[in-house]
Formats: sequence, C-alpha cells, structure tokens
Amino acid sequence: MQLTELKSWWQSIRNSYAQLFFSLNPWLGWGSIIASFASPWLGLWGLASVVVINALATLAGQDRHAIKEGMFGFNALLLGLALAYRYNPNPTFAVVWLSAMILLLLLAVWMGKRLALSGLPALTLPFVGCMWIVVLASDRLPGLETAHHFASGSSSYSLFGVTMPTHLNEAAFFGLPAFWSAYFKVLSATFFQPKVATGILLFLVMLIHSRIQTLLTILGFGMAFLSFQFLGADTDSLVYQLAGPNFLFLAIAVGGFYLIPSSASWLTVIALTPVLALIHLALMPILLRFGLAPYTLSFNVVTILLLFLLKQRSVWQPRLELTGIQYYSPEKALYKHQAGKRWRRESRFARFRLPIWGRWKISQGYDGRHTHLKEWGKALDFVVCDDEGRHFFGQGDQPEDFYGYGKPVVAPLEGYIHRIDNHVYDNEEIGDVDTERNWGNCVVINHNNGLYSLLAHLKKDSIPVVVGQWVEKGTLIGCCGNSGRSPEPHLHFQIQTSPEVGAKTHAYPIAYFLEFMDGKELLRCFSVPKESRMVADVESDGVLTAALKFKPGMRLKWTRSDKANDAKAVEWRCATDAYNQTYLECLETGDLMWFSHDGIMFQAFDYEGKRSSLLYRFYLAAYRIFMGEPRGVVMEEHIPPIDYGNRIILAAHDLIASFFSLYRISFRSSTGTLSGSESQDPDVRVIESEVGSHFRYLKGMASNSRFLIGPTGIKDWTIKGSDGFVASYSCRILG
Amino acid sequence: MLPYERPIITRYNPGITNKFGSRVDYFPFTQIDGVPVKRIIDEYGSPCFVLSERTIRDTYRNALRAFSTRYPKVQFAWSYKTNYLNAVCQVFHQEGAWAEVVSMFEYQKALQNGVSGDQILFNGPDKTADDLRTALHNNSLIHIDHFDELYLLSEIVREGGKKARVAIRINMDTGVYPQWDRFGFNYENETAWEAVQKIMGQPNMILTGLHCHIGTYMLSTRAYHLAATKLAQLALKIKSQYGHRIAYIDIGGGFASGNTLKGSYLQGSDVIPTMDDYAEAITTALLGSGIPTTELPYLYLEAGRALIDDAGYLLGSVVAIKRLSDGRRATIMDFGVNLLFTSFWYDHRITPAQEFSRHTEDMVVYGPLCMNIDVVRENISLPLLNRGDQVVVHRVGAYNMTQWMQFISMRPNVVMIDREGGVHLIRERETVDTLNQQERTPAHLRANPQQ
Repeated sequence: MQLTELKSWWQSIRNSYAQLFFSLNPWLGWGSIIASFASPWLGLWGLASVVVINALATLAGQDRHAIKEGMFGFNALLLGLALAYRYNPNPTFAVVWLSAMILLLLLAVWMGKRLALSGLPALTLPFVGCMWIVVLASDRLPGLETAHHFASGSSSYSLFGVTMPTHLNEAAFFGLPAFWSAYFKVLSATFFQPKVATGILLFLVMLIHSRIQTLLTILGFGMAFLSFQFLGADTDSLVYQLAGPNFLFLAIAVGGFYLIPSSASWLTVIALTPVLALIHLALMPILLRFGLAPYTLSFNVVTILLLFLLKQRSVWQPRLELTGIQYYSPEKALYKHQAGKRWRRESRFARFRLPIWGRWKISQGYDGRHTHLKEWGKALDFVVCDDEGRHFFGQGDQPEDFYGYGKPVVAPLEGYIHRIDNHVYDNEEIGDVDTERNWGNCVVINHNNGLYSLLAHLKKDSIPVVVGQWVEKGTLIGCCGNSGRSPEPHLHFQIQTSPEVGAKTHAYPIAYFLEFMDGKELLRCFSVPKESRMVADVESDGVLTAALKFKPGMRLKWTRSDKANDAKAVEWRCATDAYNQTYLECLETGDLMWFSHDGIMFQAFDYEGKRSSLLYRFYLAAYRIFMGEPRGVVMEEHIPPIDYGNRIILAAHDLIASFFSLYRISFRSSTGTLSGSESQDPDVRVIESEVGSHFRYLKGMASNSRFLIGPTGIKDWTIKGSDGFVASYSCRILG
Repeated sequence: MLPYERPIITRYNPGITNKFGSRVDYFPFTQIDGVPVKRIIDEYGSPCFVLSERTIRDTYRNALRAFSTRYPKVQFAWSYKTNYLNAVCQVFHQEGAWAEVVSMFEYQKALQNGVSGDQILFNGPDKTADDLRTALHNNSLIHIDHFDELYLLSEIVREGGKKARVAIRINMDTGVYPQWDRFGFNYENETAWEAVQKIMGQPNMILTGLHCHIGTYMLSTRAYHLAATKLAQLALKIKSQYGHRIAYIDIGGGFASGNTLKGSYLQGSDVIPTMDDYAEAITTALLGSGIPTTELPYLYLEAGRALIDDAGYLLGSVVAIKRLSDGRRATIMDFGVNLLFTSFWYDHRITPAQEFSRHTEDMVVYGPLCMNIDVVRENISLPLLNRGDQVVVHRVGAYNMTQWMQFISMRPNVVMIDREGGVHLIRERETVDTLNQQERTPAHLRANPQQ
C-alpha cells in the first residue's frame, strides 16, 4: 500500500471522528479518538466500525472525497459505539455488527441522496435507523446478550430502563460546579462514556477547532439544562443514550454550521432547545415500549425542519443566512461571509453598462414623477446637458437644438436584436407627445438570460442593426431621438423579463458607471443611477484587462528579479472547477486562489492554503482591482480577518465575532500609469495595493504590493509584507 | 449722460427709410465676466491681454461633450503652440487634456506643467536627435513627419533597447485647396503605407497611432469625414496585414473659431461649423468604417484655436485720431500687429469699452508702430472715439500670445479672470530689463566700463 494511500485512510478515520462535531479539524479528530478509548473495548469497536464502513463504501464505489471527509464514518462510529455499549461481544454480536454496517451503508447512501435533492442533510438519521432495526431484531436473537449494565436496568432512576452506574453519581469532579461537570460529561457522552476527564479533553480540542462552536455547545447544554429543569425533567438523564449530545449537536449545527453564526443564529438555538426537549420527551415513552431510545432523532428532526423552513423563504432576508461554501469552521464561514457580502451580491448580476457614451444626465430615474409609474417604474431616461443644466443650445424649439438628439445609443449587454420599430417620425415640435405610439422607434434586445432591454424614442432611420443580429455590449444600435411619447429628445432605457415592447419593467443594477458629484468622479458598482445625477459609462483599460486575464490552462512562472537569484521559481496553473469558478493553483504547494474577471473588475474572492506561499501574497495584492478608466479610482474592501489577521488576536475576537466585528482587515488598491522615464517599456500601468489590520483604533503592520503591467502582461511585482518579507518577482506566461 | 463727441459730417444714404435711422450693431463692451474693463486697464495698464477661465472651461467642456457623447474613447491634447502660457495650459490639463507640442521648449514646458511624459504628443518636422532621445526616455508619443526622422529614430532606438511609441503623420486629399502636403507622408501615393511597412519592420518601434492635420481654420466638415475615413481604412489595412491594432487615430485640429476671415462676406460665427458638426463628421466616419465597436481606437484631438480664441480679449486705448489724405478717418491704437499677429488674416471685432451715441464712421485702425504694415483693421465702422477711449478686441486667445513680437514696444501684461471674478496676472509685462537680461555687451563697448 502506498504511503499516500495509507495517509488518506488515516485522514478518513480521523475525519470520521471530527465529523461528529461538524469539523474536519485534526486536533478534534485525535481528541475524539482518544476520548472514545476511555473505555478501550468501546473505543475499539468504534474504530473498527469506521474502518469497516470506509472500506465498504470504497468497495461500493462511493465518492472518495466524501469517504475521506468522514461522511460515512461518523454514522458508523455512533452505531459501533451504541451497539458495543448495549450488547456483549460474542460471535453473534460480530455477525450482527457487520450486518448493521452493511445496512448502514445502504441507508446512508439512500437517505443522503434523497434528502440532498431538497438541499437537506441526512445527519445521523442512518445511524438511528440501523440502531432501531438491530434493537428490534435483538428479541429474536438469543445469541445477542445485552450488556450487564443495561440488563440489570429496572431502576426507577432511569428514563431508558438503564441503571446509573454509581461512580457517575458524584456531584462534583475536581471540585467543579455541578453545571460544568454535567457539561463535560454530556460532551463525552457522545461516545457513550460520560467522563469528566474526557469531556475536558474534548472541550480543549474543540476550543482549538473553533471558539464559536465551543461557546455554542455551552449555550446548547445550558439551555438544555435550564429547559429540563424548567420542564421538570431529570437533568441527569442528559448523559444517557445521546440525550444530552442532541442539544450540543443542535447548537453546533444551527448556531454556526448550517447557518452563518450571528446573534440571530444564537437566538435560534435558544428558541429551538425547548422544542428539541419537547420532541425528545415525547418520543421517549413511545419508543421505550419497543425497547428503543430516540438517540439523536430529536436533533435530526429539529435541524432538518429548520433548514427546510429557511430554504422555503420566499423573500431574501439578511438574517439567518445559510452557509454557502462549507468551510467546516464557523469562524471561517462567518469571516468569509462578512467580507464577501459585496462580491457575492455582485456575482449574481449580469454586467449591464449604460447604453450611452460620454456624460449624460438621468432626467427621470426609477419611479419618477412623469412617466416612470407603477409597473413601468423601473426605467431610466437620459439626456445630455451642459454645465448650466440646459439640455439644448439656441432656442431649444426644435429637436436639433438638443445636445442629446442624434447621439449614439449602444447595447447595454450582449444579446440578439429581438425587435425593431422604426416607423415613427420624430416629434418636430418640442413638447409634443405621441401617446398613441408611446415608445416611438425602439429596439428590444434579448440577452439570453431571461432579461430584455428596451431602448426607446430613437431617431427615425438611425438604427443600423437588424432583427436577429447578435450585438456585443457597446455596439451602436441607434441614435437618441424624439419619437413617441417624448416631449424633448431623450433616451428611455428599461430592463424587462419579457420581450414585448413596453412590458413591465424589472429593477436591475448597472454593473459599473461613473457619477459626477462636486467635480469628482465616483465609481458606482452594481447600483441604479439616481435621478438628476450626471453619469458616464466606464471603459475598460485594455492593458490591465489583458494582463489579468488568466485563462484556464495558462501557467505563470514567477522568478525573483531582485538580488536573491538562488530563490526557487514558483509556478501557478490556471484552471476551472466544477462550479465554473476559475482559480489559480500553486503547482508546488497546491494552494488555491479563486478569482473573477469581468473586464472592469478583478476580484480574488477566496484563498485556501498556507500564508507562506506566494499565491497567498497575490491574493492579498489582487483582492479587488479596478481595470477601467479613469485610472486612480481607489478600491476599498475588507479581507476576511481569517486570511490575514494575527491568529492570537483573532482567537480572542472569535468569542465575540458572532455579534460584533471589531477586528477588520482593510484593503485598498489603485491603478495609475508610470511616468515614462521610470520604465523601459511604454504603456506601463501600476497597480498599488495595501492591506492593513485594525482592531478598533489599533493599527497593525501593513502589507504593500506594486505591480507593473505592460502590454505583454505583468512585468514586475514588488512585495513588502507585514512580516518583513521584501521581494520582487517577474512573471512569465507559459502556454 | 453721454460725454462730448466731436461733430461729424456723414453722407446721406438714400435707402429704405425706417424710423430707427442708420443702425448700429455695436454695444459698448464694458465688462468681461463681470469685471469692468476700466478696472483692468487701471490696474494692469493698456494694452492688456485678458483671458477668461470660465470661457476656456466652457468651450472645452462643450467640445468634449460634442465628441465624447458620440464616441466612446476621446482624448484631447492641448496644442501648446496656440497658447502656451502656463496658466492657460494648466486650465486645460485640469480639464483632462494632454499636451501636444512641436518643439523641445514646448515639450519642457509641458513636463514642467506636470504632464506625464506618456501624455505628450510630440509633433513637428524639426525634432533633433536629442529631442527624440528625450521623448523616447519619457515614453512620449512621437509623431513622425518624414523618412529622415524615421531613420534617425530607428538609429536612436537601437542605442538603448527601449521601445518607442510612434505615430505617423499622414497628408491626404480631402477635397480642400490648398492641400497640405508638406507635412507627413502622403496617403494617395502610398508613401504612408511605405512608412507603415518600415515601422512595422522595426522591433523597437510600436506603431501606436495614425495622425493627420488636414489644415487650419477648416470651414468644411466633409474634409474631416474624409480624413477620418481614410485613417480608419489604413488602420484596418494594418490590422489585416500585420494583425496589429492601432491604439489611436489623431485627427489633429484646425477647427475654425468665430473670427471673421478677411475677404469673407459673412461674419465668421455665421459660417463656421459648430464643434458638434465637426464631431458628427469625424465620429460617424470612424463608427461607420467597419472597425468593430469593441476594437475602436482612441480618438485624439489637438484642437487649439477653437478652444481658446473666444476666451482671449485685448484691451487697448486710442492714442490719436487723424484724417488721411484721401479724407478717410484713421484711429491709432496703442496695440498693433506686434501684439495682434492674427490681424493679418482676421477682421477682428473691436468694440468700445464705454457708452457712445448711435453715430458711427468708417475708419482705418492703425497700431502704434512706426511701420507701414501696422494695420489692425483696414476698414471698420466704429462709433466716434476720442483720445484715451478704451476698446476691446475680441477672440484673440489663439496664437497672439505666442506669435507676438517684441518690436518697438514691449509685450504687455496678461491677466486671467477666474470663475469667481478674481483677476490674476499670469504674465508680467516686459521691461527694458527683460531685454537687457539676455544681452551681453563686450567690455570695450559699455557706457560705463567699470560695470
């Protein structure tokens, strides 16, 4: 067996343990393995179960990645522990155990895939199902002996017909308050061995994995403790048959795993805990008749019901957001979510541009006073005006006097010309309106994404395109005119979801445009121009867009261009993943950086890998770069603190991160040109960026980066890291 | 209460009678942008050039709007030779214009004005080897005028290994007479194509642009349409033959201002095309040339006269009134062709700066030089002027403040009125010391040998 294969087996085992706590953290994995061996016999069966299910899943041709992540293992672990806890080991047990494992595989695959269709997880339902089947069958299996601690259980003490072993009756351990010793016991009760010491071990490794998650388990347990007391149920019973861990799992799953941790997610945990208690208490007496326990069923039911509810929301809510990319870390999910809000929003939209060239005024905006009313409210009217705000020169009594008349109108997005109307004469008199042929001469473009653009009141016979023609974004499609319901020459632009002329309008943002205010040019991203503002389209800078256009298959080789010639060259590869996201991969370390490039904006939106790699520095340097004109526009953004911040400060900050974000990593970038004499090549652009950390008013060291970009691509990259790393690299494109 | 006017005798012209008598087209021009002319003359003397910052900016924005709402990529470059007073240049640079220069001293001025080297277009037939080296060093856009310049530049780029961004100036038949064929390479006889081939063969030259400048004070927009079409065709040919994309087409300048050319029957402002007319002709040519919208080159414009002429005024005073031998009236002003070089080809509009009655008389307007050529207007009808009366000459912003002569009299103050009405001295009047500063008298010729 290859060493790497062995390693991957180990990883799948370790992950199976960590997965029990919704984690892939190696510390938590190792800690859990050790904790499960507090009773070596149980631990062994648990381990054997994980190995067997992983082997079975592999034989059955299941997804290797899922196996490696322990997606089969954690159910098997619970099943193995539960069986070994309930029955004495003998040959019959071994046969039943193996059959249970096969059954588990069948159940896990079926349940997992069925529920995934609704976007829901199967959680530990396969385990519950298997366990019930074995227990129900055990009455007919005389060879299967119930363990003595289970068999002698007719004590009035227990809710499950289980005697409470006396050594666990100690109220305090190490002099801990009752709450804490109960908490630790419940934590380790996940492995059917409620012991304070292993509980503390699990607590510590979970703390390494995630501060938020650890706090959530305390919250979950605390709520369970309180609600049991309040409902008058026996709090001691929480340690048996996974009663207590239900609450921990709920807190982890709802508080920070399936939802982005937030005040709302914490409140949800608080609100759902009594619900879970209610379900659990309701299930117990029914199941007890068949000698069954609910195990983790109540947690599964509550979690799945909640997720179903959240996925069925008909309006978008900023609260209780579901985790998009599963990082297996509440902190990472939270920080990436916070910093990526803007990017995620932007990534949903098609890149519309303004349908004009140069500087125009929005004479009527969304829901305007004149004609943008009701269902037709989300439209924009454009006119050209001078510094005094006049729309015309001279008398202004004929269309030709108007600055906008006859000016080019261009396609706001690529698409097919769906329809053209060109039979309406322009209103010769200013103030005249043709309400019969309301839209005048117009063009409808089908953008092939469910959206249509309508450009109306065009000048007669100014439309150079034909129906069915494919037009690129920015292609001339006509000239501004005065036809239809147009008291003065202007352009009417609306986006709609159906192709008819004059259909209902659809609010949709313009990807990038410039707004002029108080003599300043401001870049607006993914917003709708407001009425009476002066706006202009953003043209892209060909040199910058070409240089940052990394195409799949392209390889970039970075070599040190400063003194350190002995330093090794670093090579990256560009590729596209299953979700159609383009990324750069460091061929040496395997670190990954995902990015998007839409011709105006370059965004490095995610990074997975070590902080020591060059790709990481590129991620920091190119987090968001404006590739349009005018140059000099400053981009300001926030990088997830988890990708840059000081780890100790961050660990402390994690404790409050669900509620406040005080630790911020700011990113700034701007582009410019190099004054000629500074470089050998003409046409050189400069991209400068800076990343710095802030904890309220405390500022951390900044990292700076400077790219020189020429017509042939990135020429030079100078880095000044906050860690004192200073270097210059030159780039070569291979293939 | 009007001041005293001397009596005149005018011939009775029997025309169609009307109740208004003979019409006067003149109104006194007493203030510029709200600043009284009298105050400027009191403070800065007479004569005095005045520039209106507001008019410069308005004219520029109007021109930019005309082009940029018709074409996606437009860049103006301020033609330094038209008016290279630093304050004027800076107004244009603030508005976003680059610099277009035709000599090393203008080039240096542009650099000192803070223009980045790569935003300077270097035109002109006379560029020395050192000039070219400087332009190359600063990554400026070198517009090659003739083959000798091309050969010289090719030797220079071989020295350093640095790449030069070049454009070629092209002359062509645009249907106007006389054809300007002394600058650049000819289009029709394929000299331009030969130049393109030679540049494309040079590894250290990047053919970045195509440039033309079809004439000056062009009254026909058709000529621009033709010029833009021909340059676009050449760009397409280069693209198809070499796969090389031309980054910009520079259509030059030559747009007319509102001045009236001598011999013109109608007033200048009645016959000249508007900036929108020029823009329409040029941009429709480029958009209709067949170049795909996504690959459209930048449109560079080097308009000078049309952007600055209207913003310039010359204030002056009457020195004397006399009668010529043929009976005509002559008025002598304190400014002449030394300051108003453009009066050689324009009939400049002159208006008195104070109230006057409705009576006018025909007269010749002379300058103060004791030279026969010093005629500002050969024939003009003006109200009755007295010694000391003040006048305003309009539309003098272009070329006068660069082509003026220090001859017999000194160059006067130049002031600029900012948008808030503040008056700024932007060029101080020259004095005898200005002249003497440059002079070196050998010791034996000095009046006082001890000095």
